[in-house]
Amino acid sequence: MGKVPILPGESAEQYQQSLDALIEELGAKSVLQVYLAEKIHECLWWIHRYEEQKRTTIIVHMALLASGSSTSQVTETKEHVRSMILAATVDKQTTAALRAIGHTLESLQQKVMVEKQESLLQLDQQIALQSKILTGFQRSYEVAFNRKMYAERLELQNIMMRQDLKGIEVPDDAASSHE
Amino acid sequence: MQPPRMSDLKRQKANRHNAMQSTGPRSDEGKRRSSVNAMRHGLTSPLESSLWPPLLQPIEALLASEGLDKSQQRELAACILNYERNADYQRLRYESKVQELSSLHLQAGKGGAEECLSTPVWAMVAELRNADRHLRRAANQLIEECGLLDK
Repeated sequence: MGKVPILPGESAEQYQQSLDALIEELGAKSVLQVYLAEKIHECLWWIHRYEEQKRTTIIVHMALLASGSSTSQVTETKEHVRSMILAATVDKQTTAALRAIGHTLESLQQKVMVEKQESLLQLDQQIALQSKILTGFQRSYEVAFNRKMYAERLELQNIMMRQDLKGIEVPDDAASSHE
Repeated sequence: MQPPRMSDLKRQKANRHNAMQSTGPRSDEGKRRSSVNAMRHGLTSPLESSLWPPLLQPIEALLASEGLDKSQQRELAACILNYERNADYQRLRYESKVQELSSLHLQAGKGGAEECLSTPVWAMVAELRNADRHLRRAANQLIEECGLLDK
């Protein structure tokens, strides 16, 4: 539809690059094929977006749990733990801090997943919806692609038939002399 | 001292009298605005009464290269526009919610309440879910219409 459906913080260039790659991979040429390829890409982009949101939800809450509640004083260690988890890396200090609150990285992650079950479920439902739409568009694309291929095959058959017919065509002068 | 209470009948009469004196919006702009007072998202309203119809003809013209007949072009263009309308709405809602959330996160980063960071994401998604069934329906219509091209 002419506009790049990205959100703030997303890269328009990256979107366009992956869309171009998909169009090329699918071999989309006609208007409808390109449109459906765009829609397939859009669904994939949404799925990626929701997956990213799931990951962010888990990491942010892990950082919150690891660095303590809002009422407690924010110490340097807590700040360090929080920034390490947000950066998705773990060092000795973070491991020690997690052990002090009775957690490992895995157990903390599991706790967050239980606590945020509802949020994650909602995001999964959104992913399921986009997947369903994606499957439908893929089916539609196949129809559009086969239809075009069928039309092209018919056109080719017609050209070949015309060429064959030319071979047995009666020349004009021969026809007139016969009269 | 409180004024004496009116009887229900009197109150009813007074209400009706007051309502009859109200003339509602007078200017065209006022009438236009009040005509959409009850509208939530407009996704169920006919396509013709939305902002999208000007795109109908250009899309029909583009679809002409697909070798479709006129009625097929029109049907498919309408389905495409309806799907785009729904997808656009979902994108806009999501975008505004993301902005809301990021401003909350910003506040939290500036020493605001940490609870801001834990704003439940599902609350944001829940709003989108209402529009989901419209999006699903629009997608199904478009997919069905594409499927008909094969027949």
